[in-house]
Amino acid sequence: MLMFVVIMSTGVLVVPSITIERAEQSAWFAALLSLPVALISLGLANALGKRFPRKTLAQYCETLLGKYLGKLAAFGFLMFLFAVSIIVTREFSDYINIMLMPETPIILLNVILLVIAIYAAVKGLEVIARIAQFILPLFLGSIIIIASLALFDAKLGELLPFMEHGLVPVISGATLPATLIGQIIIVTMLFPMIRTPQKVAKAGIVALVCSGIFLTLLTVISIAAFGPKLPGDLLFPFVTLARYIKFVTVQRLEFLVVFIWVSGIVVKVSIFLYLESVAIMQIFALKNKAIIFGLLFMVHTVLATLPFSNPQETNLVLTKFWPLISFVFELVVPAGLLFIALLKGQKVVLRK
Amino acid sequence: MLKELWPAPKAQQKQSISISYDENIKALRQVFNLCSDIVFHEFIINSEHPLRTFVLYASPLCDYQIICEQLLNSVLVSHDPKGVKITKTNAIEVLKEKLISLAEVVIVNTLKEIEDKVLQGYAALLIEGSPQAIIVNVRGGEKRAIGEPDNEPSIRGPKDGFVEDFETNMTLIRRRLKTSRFKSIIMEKGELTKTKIAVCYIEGVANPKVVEEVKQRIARINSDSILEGNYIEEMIMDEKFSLFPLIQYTERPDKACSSILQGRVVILVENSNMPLILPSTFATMLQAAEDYYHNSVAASAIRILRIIALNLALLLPAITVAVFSFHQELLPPELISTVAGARQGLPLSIALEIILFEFTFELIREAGVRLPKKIGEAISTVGGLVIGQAAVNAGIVSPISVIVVAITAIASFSVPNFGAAISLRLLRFSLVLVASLFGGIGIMFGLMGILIHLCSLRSFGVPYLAPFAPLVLRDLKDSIIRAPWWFLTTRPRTNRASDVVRQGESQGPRKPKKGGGQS
Repeated sequence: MLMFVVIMSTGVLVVPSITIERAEQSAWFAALLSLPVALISLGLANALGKRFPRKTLAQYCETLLGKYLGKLAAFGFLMFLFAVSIIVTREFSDYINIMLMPETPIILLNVILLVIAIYAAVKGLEVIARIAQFILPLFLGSIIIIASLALFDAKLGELLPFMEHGLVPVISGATLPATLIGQIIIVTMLFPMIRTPQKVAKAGIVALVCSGIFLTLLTVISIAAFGPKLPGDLLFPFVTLARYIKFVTVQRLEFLVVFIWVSGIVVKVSIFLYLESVAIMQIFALKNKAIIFGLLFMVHTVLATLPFSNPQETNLVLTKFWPLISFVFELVVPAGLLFIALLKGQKVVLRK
Repeated sequence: MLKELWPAPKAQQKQSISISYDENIKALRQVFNLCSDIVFHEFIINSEHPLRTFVLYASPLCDYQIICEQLLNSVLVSHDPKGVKITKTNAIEVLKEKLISLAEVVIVNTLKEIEDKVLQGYAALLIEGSPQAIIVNVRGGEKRAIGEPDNEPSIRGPKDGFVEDFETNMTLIRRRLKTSRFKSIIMEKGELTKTKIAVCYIEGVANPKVVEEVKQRIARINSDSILEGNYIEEMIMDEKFSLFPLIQYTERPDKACSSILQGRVVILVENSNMPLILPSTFATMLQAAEDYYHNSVAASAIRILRIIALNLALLLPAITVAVFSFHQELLPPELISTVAGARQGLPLSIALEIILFEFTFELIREAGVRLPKKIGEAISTVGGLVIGQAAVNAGIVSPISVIVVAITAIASFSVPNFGAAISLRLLRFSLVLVASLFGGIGIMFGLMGILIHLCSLRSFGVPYLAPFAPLVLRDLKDSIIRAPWWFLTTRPRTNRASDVVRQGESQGPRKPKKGGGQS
């Protein structure tokens, strides 16, 4: 039950920023296109989870691949988790830095975010899920308010002509959102902690479909309000959209976006940090939580600050390399594991 | 363990009552040596063989009238009852069964028991030649009359409030819950204070696990003194440190009873006029007893108002600081020029101004609470008018921050629970600090921090943010809003009550069928 919310907020969350770009008018279709990819990912995760209901991905890697290869695969997956949380942290700091606090050093923003997120992660999965549950209505409410107010400025004509340049740019535009909501693969790590594993598939599908719809909706509105070219050039079209809204006396709605971002990002980073700590504990058989979280904190602070010198680089990484890496871990690795599991004749285990 | 911590004087060690009258007197006089309030009254029972007797009681705890008219009268004035002769051997029994006309008469065997009972307001009667003592309930003494609850006044609803006296408080609850399913388990804690603690609940309504947990946690307490509810509150909470009160208290018997009826547990503490209510959640902190006595629409509106007040009290100063020092662009142009004009030439930054003024306000409030009422009024005049007005006129602070602090103060007083209001104040200061450092983002992070803290809290197993997170849809009818009584058919599930149904379905008002009524 708790899962639904976690997936939902992580899914909807990264939507606003860097989605539209390549496919111009048909971007909304690209966003929709990403949905099936993520569903495949969920299907794989669910199939694996059913076969190993009491183990996380890090644990059954070892069962399937043997000790060393298994550890290596699990470690790879851990690196993937690291990469996601680091990039998200960085993206967030960039956004704040550009939009709101140009003079605050990025490292400081990273540190605050990580302190809060680690506080939540230390408290454990249940607390994170509660937070997600608490902010979800506010979260959706904010998005809906912005979207509906933006409708006043929307010109649906901007959405045409559909598929002007054929299918290729659409597909290339779909890669990024697909990797984003494909992050649902993290349920493989959560399976043993869920009270009602039977419901995961259903909750996951609902979460994914909702995320997909929201993504599509936001893209449609951004394009309809700004036309096909401008959003691609803007760094954060959704924020500009919120800023652009002027409805009678209601204006300057960026604070809603800030609200969505901060709350969502904290949940997302904390869930990843939590999973990383679990994975580390299982891979390296460590017990001391203080050390693990201290380590996570340092690694994230350093890596989210140093490698990228400006937001353009972050974007570049996101568009060029990231999809490939993501697809490997969201589709190829789980598929491979499932394949091996099937070869080894691992049966579906029912857990009561 | 206890014995080691507080070794009892030698004479008290479970010594049984001696057959020798003089020895008993000596032993008890030694026990109560230098206790000026303990009365030893010696006299002779007027039987065939006159028997020396003494009665022992603690004068501040007893009712003189009962001692004189009932106890001494029955022992001194009357003669041998019909057919029986009082002798050394049967004196105790005859007295108990035939002579003493009081409600609670018990026979005890040890000096320790005598001591304990005497200190609880009983009188002990020792008779020459018998190794037993009669204990008689003569409790009385001064106590406060039932008054209006000062801290939780209401416009509509009963006006009686709890007092310090344990028995009176029990009366106030029992009068409202006339069922044998209402249980009160009495425990005694505090090696020196011997404070009675009653765990009250309704069997079959409260969750037995919670009751058991409460009993265990109270049993764990090993202290020399319990003077007020908070002494045990802090020992039986779920968290070692919590910014928010995890256990509620109330001065109103009607609120205590309604909590018991919701499946919660109330802990009465002797000599405290504020029983504890648990488990409690964040939502219950914002509820007042009166919500249930007014029209549900009005009550809901008031609750929503309180939630707005809560947010104002928590956020207004922080947001002001953030907007003025970081996000001026959020202000409409007309306002910004006014504000800029007003702030011209002021020496302090807005953050400092607000912190300073909040601090002054807290000072005034604290001084007003501690001082006698008449001086307190003077303080508020000086504080409010003189300082506020003069500070603005002198050009030290801007009117804006005075307004903000004033609104915040008013808002923070509309939170019904004082404990919650204090934590709001503390958080308000810290939010102003982060807002002055990081602006709106700082506030957001601060709020997320608070949210994480709230989400991690539990009160006797009940998540603190229930029914919002975890979401319990059925309980929302009595959270932000207060649904009409005919709709409140179930007890809150968050208390994990064992018997959930409170009343039958569809008892709401119905319009008579057309033409069906007699004219």
